[in-house]
Amino acid sequence: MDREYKRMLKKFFRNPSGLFGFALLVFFVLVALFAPFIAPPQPSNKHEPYMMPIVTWSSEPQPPSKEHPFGVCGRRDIFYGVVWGTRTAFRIGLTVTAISTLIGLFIGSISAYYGGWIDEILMRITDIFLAVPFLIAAIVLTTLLGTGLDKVMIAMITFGWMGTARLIRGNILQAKEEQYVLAAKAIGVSMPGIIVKHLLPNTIFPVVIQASMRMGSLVITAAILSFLGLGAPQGYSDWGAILNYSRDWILGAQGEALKYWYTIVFPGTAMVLFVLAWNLVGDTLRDIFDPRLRI
Amino acid sequence: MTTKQPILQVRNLVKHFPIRAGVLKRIVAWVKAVDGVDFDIYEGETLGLVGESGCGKTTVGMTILGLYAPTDGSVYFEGEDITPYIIPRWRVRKYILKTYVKPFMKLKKDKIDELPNHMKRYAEIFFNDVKSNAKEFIRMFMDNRKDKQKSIRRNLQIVFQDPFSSLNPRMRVGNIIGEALDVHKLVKNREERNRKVVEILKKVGMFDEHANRYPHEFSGGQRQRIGIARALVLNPKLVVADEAVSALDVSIRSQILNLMEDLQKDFGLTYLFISHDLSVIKHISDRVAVMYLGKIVEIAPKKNLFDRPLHPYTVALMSAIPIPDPDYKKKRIILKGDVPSPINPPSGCRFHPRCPIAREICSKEEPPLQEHGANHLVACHFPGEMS
Amino acid sequence: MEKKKILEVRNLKTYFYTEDGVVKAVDGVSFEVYEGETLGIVGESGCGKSVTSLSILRLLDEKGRIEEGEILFKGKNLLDLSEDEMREIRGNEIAMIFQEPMTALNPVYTIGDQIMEAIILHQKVSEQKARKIAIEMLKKVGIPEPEKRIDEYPHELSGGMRQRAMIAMALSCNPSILIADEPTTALDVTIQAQILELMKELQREYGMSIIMITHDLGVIAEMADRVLVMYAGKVVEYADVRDLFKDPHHPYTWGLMNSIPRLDVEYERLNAIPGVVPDALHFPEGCRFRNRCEFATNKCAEEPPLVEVKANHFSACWHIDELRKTMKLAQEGETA
Ligand SMILES: Nc1ncnc2c1ncn2[C@@H]1O[C@H](COP(=O)(O)OP(=O)(O)OP(=O)(O)O)[C@@H](O)[C@H]1O
Ligand SMILES: Nc1ncnc2c1ncn2[C@@H]1O[C@H](COP(=O)(O)OP(=O)(O)OP(=O)(O)O)[C@@H](O)[C@H]1O
Ligand code: SF4
Ligand SMILES: [Mg+2]
Ligand SMILES: [Mg+2]
Repeated sequence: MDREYKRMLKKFFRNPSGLFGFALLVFFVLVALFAPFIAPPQPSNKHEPYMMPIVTWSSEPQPPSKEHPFGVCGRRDIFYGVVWGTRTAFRIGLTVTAISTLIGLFIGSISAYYGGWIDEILMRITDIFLAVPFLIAAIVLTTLLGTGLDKVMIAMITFGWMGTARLIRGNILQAKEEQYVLAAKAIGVSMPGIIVKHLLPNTIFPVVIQASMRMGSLVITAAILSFLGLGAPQGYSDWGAILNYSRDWILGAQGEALKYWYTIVFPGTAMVLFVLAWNLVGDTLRDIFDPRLRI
Repeated sequence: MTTKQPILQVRNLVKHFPIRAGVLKRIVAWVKAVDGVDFDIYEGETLGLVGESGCGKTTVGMTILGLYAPTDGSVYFEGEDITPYIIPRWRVRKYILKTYVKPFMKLKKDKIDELPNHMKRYAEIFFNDVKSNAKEFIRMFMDNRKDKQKSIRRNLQIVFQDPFSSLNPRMRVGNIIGEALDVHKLVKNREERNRKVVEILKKVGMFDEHANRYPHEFSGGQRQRIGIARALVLNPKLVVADEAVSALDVSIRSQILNLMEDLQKDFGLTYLFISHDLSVIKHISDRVAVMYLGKIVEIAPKKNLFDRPLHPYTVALMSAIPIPDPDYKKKRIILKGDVPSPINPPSGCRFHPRCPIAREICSKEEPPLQEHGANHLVACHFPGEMS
Repeated sequence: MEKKKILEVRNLKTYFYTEDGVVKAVDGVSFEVYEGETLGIVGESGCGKSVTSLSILRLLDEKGRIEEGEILFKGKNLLDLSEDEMREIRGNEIAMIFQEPMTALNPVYTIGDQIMEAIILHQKVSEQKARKIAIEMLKKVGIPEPEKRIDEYPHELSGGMRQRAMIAMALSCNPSILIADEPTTALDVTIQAQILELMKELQREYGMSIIMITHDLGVIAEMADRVLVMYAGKVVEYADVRDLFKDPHHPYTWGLMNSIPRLDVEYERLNAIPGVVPDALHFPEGCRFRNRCEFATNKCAEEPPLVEVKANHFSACWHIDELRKTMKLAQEGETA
């Protein structure tokens, strides 16, 4: 196995797009970790560093300058928001992915292991959840729950586990045919033991890959919800929220359509690169683990 | 042979698999994989089970181990009926009523002695211990279910065919073997576990450092040794070897066969050795059962069976094996047609559409498995007519 | 032997360039096939039997390369032909049947379609004519009701029937050589007996040569005229079938013959060859059997050449004399 891992690593780092994605990811992690040093919060908002500091009283955006390298929008420093927004992005991505993946794993493995009518019921429920378009479902649920980042995350978890459930179910159904599962039964290993020790370790990789791909797209969804005003509150360091109040300036000034470009470009680029990083990493992992998974 | 005790008795064992189709997954047909099988295995012997692909050999093995729940019939291990513990709980009541309570109710008490041994034991319990109280009698089989199941697992073990898919690729060899010890709480601490693992590894001809490696680092033959070690670490009494050497290279096969023979002596094991290879079966078995389409058609001590096969299928099977000797001239019996499907087995004798000596009665009446000569059972209307 | 040589393979070397290194799957194999006879190739899994046959037809995947050697078919070197010329040979002059007929047949076409495709391609006949030939062939290989079966899909046939259909397809263009790569390994013995019988019959009728690849010495004894024994990518012994079984001249062949249980002999204990088949990436230097051979000495670190040890009997071993002595002792022990 150790040899296998080494080979996979070698393959990973030989793949230029994987390497690029990985580098991007490392960059984002560093930014998130060192946010307090890259964009130190002002003494006045030390206690709530996620709020972007108000730096001016004019409501008109200001172009990038020495003090505000990404410009100012909605009276707040865009650079600060983009840097601290990285943390928000990770928080949303990791929390939602982790919890929805766990739910998916639970439902999918129970479904596959027991089969029969349990499988039937669980899969019909999954189908129902899948039938509702993700974004609409999330919007509706967030509206019902009320606005706020935590509500957005709950909505995304509620409608985000089905892919995992299906994937793990299919994989386990396949792995169940392997004789080592029968062998474990013959020894007397209990049902949870078989799932945890024998089935999951042999089926988890595609799930991890899928999760890493989902990570990126989740941040977009969260951004859309924020953009619609359902997510983070005014002034919160969140890429979507910054885009939200740059909304009024998107059209630019008269005769100068691109005048306020910086209000969109910086948070937008951060978001695109973040999504790209996860996708590249996920793609590469998928190619390494199993080329047959390619669709 | 007769003085030996049967360690395992199988009575009228039936296993049907449903075939489901359509969106509603309705059952559209049944695969009659095993359709009424009786045999005994005696302590310390090797019973060979041979037959063509799909005739139900694996299903027999899996069912007596309780890995499949039998559709009907009973399995006795050391005289004790283990069927209640290998069928789902909700079927136990019905099973006990049908197998024991109903027949016993009709039985005159003085006729107990005429019952076969395995029934007698329960008749005595029924009449003497629980005083014909059916409820009490059934409760007896419900009690200690978990413990009983565990003890079945410990005593009955299996070695699988495929040395590649039968070992979890993500577990170290030491854990693959040690898992059984953990599950049954047979070791108190890590040292003891490691000691036992290494001990058994050495027994199967491997080394202690192998415990830390993963299965893919081993060849097919070595993996099969690991599979055998896993089965033996629990100190079972009966081991089902399902095509345990079929997937191995020819030059490795004999190593494993020799090893299994040695271990049988060392541990006093009883084997149910399943294979489609008659030559291997002949080498390793004491007695041989021949299966065809879910039924045992002939069962006899090895010498009797190979010297004087009585069933036409056995005869044809033996003649079909290519002998590695270009000068060996023999009359080949080429059977016509294919093995029929176990979904709709032929009427009467299941072999009749392919049987060279079939007559009218063969398609109408099913021949029972009957004794023809000492310990030689055969299910054919015209035993020994073909040779 | 006044028979005509139809195929001659000389010093064939086929290597695979994998991520883990070079697999010398076939490393200097030579043999010939005569008209109307059956050459058996026997050896354990991974010894290079299939790669040899795929090399003859040049059907290797992109990782495999023929490094050296000649494959002379009716005097032409197949390795010099263009891909188009090669296609003319495949299926037409040299046909092949595989171990698992299910994977070799396309599941989305009827067996009729697949047989007719080959006929139309190579014989340039009309569709009706091709269908007629196909039905004829199916009847020949013993498929009942061929007019009906011709329109069935592979999954509707049993394993034995599928293999029959494969044979019908292979023989439909009347090839001069039929390569059969473990044609009966996936089948039951009673069905295997049918197929082997059928192949012998068809060979008598069509007079083609057969290369019979198998790991079963019993099948070899039954089918082959001459036998090539392979071990780890090399030929270790090459002889007439009778001579090979009566008087093996390589420790591996001898060990193999003693290690398989036989229906016609009673053994107290099987004679096992120790050790494992070496991994294709790490074949030992010199004689590749030497780490499992009871006769091995330092000399064996040098590669033994394939030499004629008696008339028409070739073996690659440094210690044939010791082997002879041991075999004689064993024989005496048996009779005593
Ligand atoms: N889990 C299952 N579900 C449905 N059908 C099954 C199942 N297991 C086996 N069968 C069917 O039951 C029949 C007997 O199968 P079994 O595996 O017991 O045969 P076998 O004698 O072991 O054959 P082989 O030599 O190929 O291993 C076959 O027709 C098979 O398709
Ligand atoms: N496409 C391939 N890529 C890499 N290695 C290969 C490839 N095909 C075959 N090999 C290697 O070449 C060696 C010979 O393989 P080959 O298939 O000829 O064996 P064989 O004698 O036919 O065995 P079997 O009895 O299992 O069919 C093996 O070690 C195999 O791993
Ligand atoms: S009963 Fe009849 S059909 Fe069956 S094997 Fe005997 S002779 Fe043949
Ligand atoms: Mg089986
Ligand atoms: Mg091959």
